[in-house]
Amino acid sequence: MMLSPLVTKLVSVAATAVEFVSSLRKKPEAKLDPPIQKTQAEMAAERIQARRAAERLERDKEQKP
Amino acid sequence: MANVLVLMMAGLALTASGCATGLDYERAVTVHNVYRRVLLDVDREFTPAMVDAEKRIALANQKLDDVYDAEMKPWLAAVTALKLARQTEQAMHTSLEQWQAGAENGTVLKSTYACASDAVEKLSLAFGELPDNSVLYAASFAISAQLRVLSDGERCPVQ
Repeated sequence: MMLSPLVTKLVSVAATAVEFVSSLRKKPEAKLDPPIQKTQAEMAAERIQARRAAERLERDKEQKP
Repeated sequence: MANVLVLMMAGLALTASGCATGLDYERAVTVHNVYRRVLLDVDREFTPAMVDAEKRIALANQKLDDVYDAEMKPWLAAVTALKLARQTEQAMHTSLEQWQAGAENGTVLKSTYACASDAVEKLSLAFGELPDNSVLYAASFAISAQLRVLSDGERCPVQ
């Protein structure tokens, strides 16, 4: 069965439209920077809290010989 | 038959225009990268200020744990808010990677932008409790507005 020229043309235009939609969704040229694993503030806060906890423990030991 | 095909074409054209006016990948990546940079800048400004403040507070309250804890509370609350913002940046990054791989996650991505915007607002509130916070304030407000626009009316599902 032969497709009419109009149908062939419309199918071709539809394929182009689908390709266009896909290209809008996928744009590999945009460079995505890597995620931040941990902030300096989080690491500093962990160090501060660990040091303070150790100091408290030391003081408690001194008070209860 | 021709009428049906014309309707099909109109449908495709509408789909294409919907995608074109919706969340754009390039723009979403750009805002993610700006958000990431702002968080790193804020972290760079905030961390030495917190470390200096802690030294002063610890020196003044060596054996006064209650006073020490009370004075450190706003600083540690700001660290928690910054951690939340960092986690939303990671979620946004994951969504963008999935989108780049072809996943249909425009809605998920919008909600991650909404969550990031909420996180930045919480960060601004936490910074508001600290002394001398003007630099941190300006940076966080600027990015919050951009994130809110990209969320396109979506709300963060996590409150």
